[in-house]
Amino acid sequence: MSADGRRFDAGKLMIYLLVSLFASLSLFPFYWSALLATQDTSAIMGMSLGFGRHLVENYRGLEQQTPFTRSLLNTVYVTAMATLLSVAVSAAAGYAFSVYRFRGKNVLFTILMLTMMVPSVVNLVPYFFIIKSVGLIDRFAAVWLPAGVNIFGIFLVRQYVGASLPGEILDSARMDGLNEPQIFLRIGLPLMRPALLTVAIVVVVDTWNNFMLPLVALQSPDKQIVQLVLRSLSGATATPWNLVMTGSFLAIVPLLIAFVFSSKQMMESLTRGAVKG
Amino acid sequence: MRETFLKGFLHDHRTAYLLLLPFMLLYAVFNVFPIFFSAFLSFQAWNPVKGLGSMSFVGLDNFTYALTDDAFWVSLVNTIKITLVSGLCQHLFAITLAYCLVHVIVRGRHVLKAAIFLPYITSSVAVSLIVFNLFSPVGALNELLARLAAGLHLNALAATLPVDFFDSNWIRFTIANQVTWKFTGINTVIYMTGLASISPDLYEAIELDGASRLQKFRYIALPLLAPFIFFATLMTLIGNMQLFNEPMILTRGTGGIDNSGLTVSMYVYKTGWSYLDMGTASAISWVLFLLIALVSALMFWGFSKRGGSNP
Repeated sequence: MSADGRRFDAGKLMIYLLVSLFASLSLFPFYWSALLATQDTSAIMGMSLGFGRHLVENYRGLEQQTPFTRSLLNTVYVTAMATLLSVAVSAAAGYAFSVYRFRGKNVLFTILMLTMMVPSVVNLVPYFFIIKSVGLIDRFAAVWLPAGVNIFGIFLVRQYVGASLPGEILDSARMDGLNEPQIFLRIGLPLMRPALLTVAIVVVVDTWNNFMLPLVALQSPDKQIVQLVLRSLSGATATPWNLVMTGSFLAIVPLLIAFVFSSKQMMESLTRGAVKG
Repeated sequence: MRETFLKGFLHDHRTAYLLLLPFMLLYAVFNVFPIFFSAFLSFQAWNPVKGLGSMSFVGLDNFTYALTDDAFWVSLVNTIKITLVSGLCQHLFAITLAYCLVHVIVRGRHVLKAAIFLPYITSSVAVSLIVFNLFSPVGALNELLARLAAGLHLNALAATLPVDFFDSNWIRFTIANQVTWKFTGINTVIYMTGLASISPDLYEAIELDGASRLQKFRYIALPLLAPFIFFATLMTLIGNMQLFNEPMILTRGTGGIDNSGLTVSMYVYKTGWSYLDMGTASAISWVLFLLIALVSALMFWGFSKRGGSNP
């Protein structure tokens, strides 16, 4: 900002310190769970601040008390399915909204905007009723199927296609003899890749951390996802802290690694996704 | 040209409906039907364990039951308190941090921004477990406070230790603190986008008049951020009014001592799944929906009255 950047600026130093303090507080819980995940109980009792060498041992201990690895794999599966479904469904519907004029389009679009404002808890009881009625209790599909309804994703794809796919391209493709589905698959889909990446990032983070739907839908012990296993540890005072923190740390770490490698893209996508309310 | 266009247009409808079909099916099942069914259920008594046959019309009973239940009002007051405290902190912190990151900090900007954003992608459940450990009566925070009190001879502080951050006085603070921790970062990024959209010419103009850093913030940044503040605070209000995960874990599903950490969404869940009263659960969820709609409408009204541009 100021042209005299080389002069000592106390205000600037204070600001650097303040922002760094904030950043440290943001990171501290990750450090803390990583720390405790590597320690044994005696190191934790002594509040040692050095990393230990007990991560593998703690992991084995956790595995003895909970179906942790299984639940982690289940979470990966549910997240993958939710993301694939959501991306495919949003791509098709968003493209349709952008490219075609059809009866009831504007009314439908307004209705989508309105239903987006309905709090998720309003849908919770009916959701339970539906999955119970169609036999989806304890089925992972109960958790990943609702991810197909991604109104934010439709808005994003529609906007993106509208901005990057001019009518002339569509017309010339039609003149070249491509039929409508071919145009969607060969021209539309490749063009909207950046928008689909944004949708995918938002769905991955949402599904990985989803707690409310699995809480209602998944009840049997061999159909757990990682958030539910962690929750079961919250009431169990018998489980030692090093095992609990190993679970927390490992549940956070996959998204953490993704974030380290693509923080810019993830921040941008998730900030856009925040609109979904 | 015209012919191909017409031909394309005729094909349009069929393809459009085909492409919309998967979405419409899922939307009908998981979004449209639930809204109507939930509205219907709020006038019914239904115990899910006894099956569908146990459903019966009870008029407004569910609403009168909920609205005369102390626990509902406690949960509403808790939700409002947590929303306001964490909302205010989140946005004060976020605006300050965003301004510092955009206009003061050059070296390390991206790393600091990413670090502050990171809590947003973490599981509330996992972080709640970490909070259990850090904030427990024998945890690191109490230990730190004890050392501070001893080192600085703060006898008044020492006398209150250890603090139980999960008791009926502190639990709302502990929840609000965790929510603030999680959402400050995304609001910071939203405000950074807003600040980046302000033309540097405006700052230069006021700089020529000898404005200080604080004055530039007050007279240029803050007024031009208004649409972003409106949008971000609205999102925070809508989100926090529905708060579920943090209170659910931090009170171990109980709502806390004397329901001191119970939120409205948690009250819905407990009514439906602990007391098996799905009718009342639906009724409360609608009351919450109407409240959120009312608050949003008031915010829109207030913002347009203030003369702010359309967000």
